[in-house]
Amino acid sequence: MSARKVMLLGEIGVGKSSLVRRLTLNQFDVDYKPTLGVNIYTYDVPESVLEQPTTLIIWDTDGNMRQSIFRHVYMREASAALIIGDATRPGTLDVMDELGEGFRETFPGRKHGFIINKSDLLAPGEDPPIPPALNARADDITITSAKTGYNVEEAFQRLAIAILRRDQ
Amino acid sequence: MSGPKPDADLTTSQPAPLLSVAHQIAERGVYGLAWLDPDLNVTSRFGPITEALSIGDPISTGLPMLIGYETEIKELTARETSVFNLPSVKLITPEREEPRLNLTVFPDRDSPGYILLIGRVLTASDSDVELTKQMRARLIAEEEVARKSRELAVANAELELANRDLEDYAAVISHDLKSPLRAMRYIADDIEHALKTDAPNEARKALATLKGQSRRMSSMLGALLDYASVGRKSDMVEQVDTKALLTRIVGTMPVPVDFRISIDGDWPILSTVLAPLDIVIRNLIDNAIKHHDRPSGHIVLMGTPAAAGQSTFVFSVLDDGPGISHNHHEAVFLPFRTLSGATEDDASSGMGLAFVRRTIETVGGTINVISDPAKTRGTKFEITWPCELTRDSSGPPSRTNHPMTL
Repeated sequence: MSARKVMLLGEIGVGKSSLVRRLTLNQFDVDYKPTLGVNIYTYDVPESVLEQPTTLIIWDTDGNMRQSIFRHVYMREASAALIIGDATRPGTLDVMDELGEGFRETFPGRKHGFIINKSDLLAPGEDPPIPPALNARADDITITSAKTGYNVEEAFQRLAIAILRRDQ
Repeated sequence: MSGPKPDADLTTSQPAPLLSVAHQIAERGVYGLAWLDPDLNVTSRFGPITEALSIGDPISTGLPMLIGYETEIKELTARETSVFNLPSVKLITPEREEPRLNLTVFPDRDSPGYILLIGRVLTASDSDVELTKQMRARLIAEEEVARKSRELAVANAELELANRDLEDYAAVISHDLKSPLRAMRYIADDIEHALKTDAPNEARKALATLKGQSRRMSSMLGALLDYASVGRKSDMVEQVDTKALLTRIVGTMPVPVDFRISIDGDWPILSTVLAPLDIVIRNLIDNAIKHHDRPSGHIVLMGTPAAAGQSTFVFSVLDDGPGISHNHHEAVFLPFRTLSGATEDDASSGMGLAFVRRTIETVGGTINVISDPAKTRGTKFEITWPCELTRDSSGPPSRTNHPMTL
């Protein structure tokens, strides 16, 4: 079993904890609970997705750390990052692009994906207001809902596949 | 302390009161110790908080948060100050939710290997957690308020623009459109008089004039309706090759034989709305030709793309016409204001530059007129145009969070 460290980054309240808790515990709590420090979850990627047994060690970080996270011991040896924003808060989507840039500068060549969460709060047919710079990376953006589970597993599994592909 | 140690063997050669306290604290799960061999396998452990660690297993098996840090730990030297710290980490699995821990690793000075100190982070009180939650909820709410304020500011700017348009319309309706109507009434009087005095030629002449005024009024009304529709038509943002656009415009516009149009400078590919840019350029060229005072002329379209980091593309339309004096620089952009004076057969509606400015402002650009006929001939219209428009970009009207409209 090989393990890969994946960081969850994003502004406070965008649903980082909700996403990983939906993924690993199949739980969703409507009440907001701030993450103080970092919480670590493990996720075994199903063999149907990756033949090579792989565990993601998922680091759910404190959104209050913002760009300082890149200088923190938490980030060392990260294989990849998922950068998360809230579909209903455009400011958090702008921050996604900044965090993506920070990650690329700190870990050149390592994989990162973007998640726009809380799609369940959008009106039917409504698109999240994706900033142009972020939109340019449209291939890496996954729209999810931690509340309903929509696309949550897919987002993590896509990243796992990308990490393994890069490492091969 | 030296390792490897048997489990919980801290009783030898230590002062009894200190050991007693150490045991009491460890038994309460406040801290624990683990001894690691040079390959970071657990050789011994102390305290209930270390129960997840199995003797002989790699340390990362029981503490997966240490995966990836192995090299860094093995590089610790035997100096006293050489430590590895991983603060405030908490492991959550479907089976268990561990306490929040501070992990510290330092080299064992007495034998090869390392000592891991596991300290339990004192749990924040419920009131502290609640306070943090409230503060963050407030931050999120403030962010929402700021966003609403920005939207309100944009809406106000749009409203201001609409109010200005309304004032323009009021001026147009009350004054400019009255002019051809008044002329038509006088012409009707002339026709009546000609018929009474049996002067059919005069009547025919007056009828021709009447038709001319009618055409002029129709042209003005049509242009007014088009002007009013700017800002209401949806338009798609697309990649526009501005050089190709200019070539197409110049190739299809009716240009007098003795007029020359040159395309100069650099013209980029923009992510923008094609139709408005087309309207602006056509009207500016048309304006330069119509208001030229000589049978021949030269119009130059000059492109100056934005430097790195700038968000606007600047281009100019220059002509060698009579120029526009300073006191008319603003008036040329008002609806139905033609400086040359309209005649009955004048095809100009007087809306060209009003159209141009309104269209440019709608995409968040600007237009300036640079001309001083007292010094030299010619006029330069300098336009700034956003380099990138999207359906959802923020900024001035039409570069807001609303769908792109023009």
